[in-house]
Amino acid sequence: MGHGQLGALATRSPEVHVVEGALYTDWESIYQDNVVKVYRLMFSRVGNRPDAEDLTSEVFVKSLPNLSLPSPVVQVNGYINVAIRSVLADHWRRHYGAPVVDVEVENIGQANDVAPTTEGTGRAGRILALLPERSRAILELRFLRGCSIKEAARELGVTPGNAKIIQYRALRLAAEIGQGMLS
Amino acid sequence: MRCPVDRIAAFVDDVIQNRRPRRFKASTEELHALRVAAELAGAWPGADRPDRQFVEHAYAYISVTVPNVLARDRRHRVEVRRRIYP
Repeated sequence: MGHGQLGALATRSPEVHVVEGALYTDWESIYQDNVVKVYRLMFSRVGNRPDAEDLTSEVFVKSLPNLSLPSPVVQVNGYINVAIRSVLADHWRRHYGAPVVDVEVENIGQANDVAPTTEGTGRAGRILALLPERSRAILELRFLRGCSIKEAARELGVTPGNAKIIQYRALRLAAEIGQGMLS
Repeated sequence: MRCPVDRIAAFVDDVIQNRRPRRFKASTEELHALRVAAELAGAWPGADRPDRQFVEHAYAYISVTVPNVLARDRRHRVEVRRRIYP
């Protein structure tokens, strides 16, 4: 794979062009067309680079052996989507003891799957907007401004121990709001 | 690791520093909190841009891990070439 191509891949705008009846005829194209989309989706679910990178690789390792070439783009997307769900469910099960349940994930290959997030918009922005002021404040300090728990505590005028409790409650509330958005 | 409040705080510390978080067996409530924390950490503009080196190296890794992928790719290209230039 040429570096020039990869450079373009890493920075190109995340538009999705799926032509009905289009075929993939080589593995590299499958990888190039999907690696950024898969990575971004994984990152949005695990929130950190090392895990997102491992899981992205795992998705390709899991889905490619099931494919033969040439393959319709729609079929390839289908295999990748199945692998994404399985790899994510396995991640949460292996590392945090989560029960095996179907993971809610957007499908790659949809027009809005890799739309860039802008501050205050998107699901995360909507969740924050619905939180009570103090809960929103601690989460904005931590996730938006990258404050340590001590810095966030100072901003809120509480002890670090209290800030951790406020943060825990805020995240549980945010999770409830997020689940309400899905149903 | 200590209590749920501390475990979740440690997880948040890790994700906002873009580190691999510590693993632990989470309760259902903790799982919900972890997932939303991961979602919030991944939601800010530019945060989800992959490292260029990763994008370059991952294909090589995948090719080694799934050895028949590259072999099949090469075979296919040879077949196509033969069809075009018999």
